[in-house]
Amino acid sequence: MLPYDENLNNHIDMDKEAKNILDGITLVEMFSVALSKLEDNIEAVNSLNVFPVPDGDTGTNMVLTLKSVVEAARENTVESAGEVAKILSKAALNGARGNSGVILYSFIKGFSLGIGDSEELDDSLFVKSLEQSKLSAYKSVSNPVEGTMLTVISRIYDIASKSLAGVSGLSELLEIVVKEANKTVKETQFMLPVLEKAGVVDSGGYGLQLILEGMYQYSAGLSQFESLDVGSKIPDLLSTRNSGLIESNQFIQSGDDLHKIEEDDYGYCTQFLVDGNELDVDAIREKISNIGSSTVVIGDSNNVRIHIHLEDPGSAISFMVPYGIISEVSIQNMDQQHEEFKDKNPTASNGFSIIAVAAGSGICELFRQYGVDVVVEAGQTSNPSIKQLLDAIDEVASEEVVLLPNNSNIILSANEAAKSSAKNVSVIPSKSIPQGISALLALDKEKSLELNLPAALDVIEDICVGEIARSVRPFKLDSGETIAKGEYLGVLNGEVVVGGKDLIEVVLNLIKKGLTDSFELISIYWSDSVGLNLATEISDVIASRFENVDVEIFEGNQPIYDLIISME
Amino acid sequence: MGVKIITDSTSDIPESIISDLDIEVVPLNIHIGQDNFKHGVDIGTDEFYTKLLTGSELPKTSQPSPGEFLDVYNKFLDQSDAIVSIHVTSKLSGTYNSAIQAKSELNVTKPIEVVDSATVSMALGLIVIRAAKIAKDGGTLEEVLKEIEHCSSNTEVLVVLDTLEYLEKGGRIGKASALIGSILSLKPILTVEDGIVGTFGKARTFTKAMNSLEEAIKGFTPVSDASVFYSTDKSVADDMIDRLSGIVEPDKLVVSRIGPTVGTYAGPKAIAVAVIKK
Repeated sequence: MLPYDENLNNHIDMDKEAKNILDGITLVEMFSVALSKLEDNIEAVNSLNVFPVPDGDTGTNMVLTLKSVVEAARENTVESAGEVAKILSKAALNGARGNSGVILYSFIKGFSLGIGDSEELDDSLFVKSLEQSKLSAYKSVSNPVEGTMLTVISRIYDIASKSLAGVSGLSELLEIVVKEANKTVKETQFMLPVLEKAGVVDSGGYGLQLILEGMYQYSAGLSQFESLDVGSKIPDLLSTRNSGLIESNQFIQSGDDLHKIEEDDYGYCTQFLVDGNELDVDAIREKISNIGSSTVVIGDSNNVRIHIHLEDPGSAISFMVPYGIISEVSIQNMDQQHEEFKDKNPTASNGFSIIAVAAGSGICELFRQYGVDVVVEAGQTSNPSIKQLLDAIDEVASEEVVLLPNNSNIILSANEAAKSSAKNVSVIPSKSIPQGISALLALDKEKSLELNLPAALDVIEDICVGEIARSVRPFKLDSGETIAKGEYLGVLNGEVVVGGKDLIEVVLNLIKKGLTDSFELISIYWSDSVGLNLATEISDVIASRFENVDVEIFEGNQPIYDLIISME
Repeated sequence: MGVKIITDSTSDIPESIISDLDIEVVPLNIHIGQDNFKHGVDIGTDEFYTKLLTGSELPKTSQPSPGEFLDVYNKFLDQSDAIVSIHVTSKLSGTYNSAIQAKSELNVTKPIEVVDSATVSMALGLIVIRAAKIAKDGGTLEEVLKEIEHCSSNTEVLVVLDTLEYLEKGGRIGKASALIGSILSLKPILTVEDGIVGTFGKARTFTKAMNSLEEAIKGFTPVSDASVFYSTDKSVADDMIDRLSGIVEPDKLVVSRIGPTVGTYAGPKAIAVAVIKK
């Protein structure tokens, strides 16, 4: 039995009647309650980060994503549930932060697809929405991993579709869904080794459970829902032992999925809109990509935007005529553009722009000095939204863009931004600042991106990255040693390997774990909390301990990490 | 008789090949403090690098005078049907100009062709060697010039420097100036493009720069001729020779030392590869 079953009935009796049919206004209210629910428990979700360093917390990312959705909806008073769902979906695409935010976007997008043009949302359209959520969520990651938000979405769809015939309406259906979500979230701990080892449930799954609880609370007409709050119990599951990052490690895109590198991006850049009925975006994308390059096809069953490079722009338009009405046609001669560009920019004839996500004034400056056109500054504990990435993509001059996320938790958002942009965006999946710098140094703006990209993708793996931060909770190392809250943790290539009170000792132990004979250079980026004097001392100690290795220090001013260390 | 091939000391061709193919090398001048030396005549390579690394003043170089070229041309005009004088890129040295001036001083009926190779060191050396082989086999002036043209347009050269300091202080940095003042320490991979120094790539460590160099050179295959040349560290050259084994027949691979003229700018631990693409 679930802990809250008995309490549930008490509340239903004392509150307003259930809402089983939602229009546009009440749909927004339901998401508002879901947001409050999530916000109230943000710390509980954040505490489930397997990694006790507040870099891109799941709770914060999900709250910011959902907040942008609710705020957008509040600005538009629309009565039709279908219309509202479209607004929510678009806002989620722009506002999605971190990997959990991207999956949350897929969840919300499901509603816009499921409700379609209907004026109202009922239990059967809710099931249809969950079906769409599931489809788009699994599509948003290249290697779907069970034991995450994905599993929760999948299971709640299954139970909802099975239960639909037997329920009296949306409220009852949501009750079943919440129970299933709660059950699934608890199971996630045993589905993923990394969670089992850490003794925690999946943070994104739990965040989604809270959202569903908020939805249920609203639909059931419950003003009080405290006793249902399993959230406060979840952190009890926390153990002090852990390794790796959920947010970071589970959804990592493989390099295969990167934007295709096109052979000849010349001819005509052709863009237009198609208004039609029951358009199959994926099928159109697949077919049209055969006739041109740099194909981007986005949209829904009614509207599709096509972007394609090809020699004969007419053929792309003719191809799409059977699908619907063509409008907003834009054709640009890229050969001419290319020539004009070459004339204006003799040193940058192949012109691509570089965008990097970074935090810390020193590190941002470093990226700018080595050719990054726009640095998207990451927040203290949150990751940039897809919208921020898209704005940066729009801002840069070139149509060809390289995006360096520099954080494993931003790679999915970067991929989503790349997919939604009309520009040709290549994401280099850099998981850390040093990986980003390596990739950047391998990029030569005087050569075509096609010539550059393979090397830039290769080099990010050639580097060993250490990060040192203070633990936000007690933490047990594999060695059995416990690191107290506030002490230093040393992370090597995403895994916590050392820790202790003394910074220099932690640095030396970390380097010992990572260093091999082939390394020649250790670069250290220090934060304001460390300062130049201590950084110099650390550098001197390293130089005296490790022969044949050069040591360099840089003022990074990065938040969270006292030191970022690269060994190469 | 036949065609006489002349070059200058920036070509860094090994002594044995110079004598085998009967190439005449006009030395550049090296100035270290108050002392003046002629490359290959009165200063040895090891002696030069010791002075470079330990001396308080950086060496300077200067082109041979037109008079020195006149003497050489006069000497060989009697012994040959034509002279082909192939030199270091005119954008890095005045050597080509001296040779041109010397030619204009002469009033002779025999042809003297002065060629700006637009490159330097063993990239120039490989071109000179190919020209000298044609000449030695009795090739005509036209055949020699055609060979030079073919080789010039198919020559690639890449060099990894341990430091840009010498190139910068010597005023030969060219487009690689963008790498000066870098916050991060970088190992530049340079090339010679249109006669001046250009940046091919950059790496954080010497080994990574060697990897890039190796990969780039392999990208130029098939090649007919290749040379691995270095300034001070033979083990680095041996490593590169290993890495490149198989890209060219062993007898077509020339291992050479960057001499005092180019060494003034390349500095210690420089490693370079030149190839002529098939």
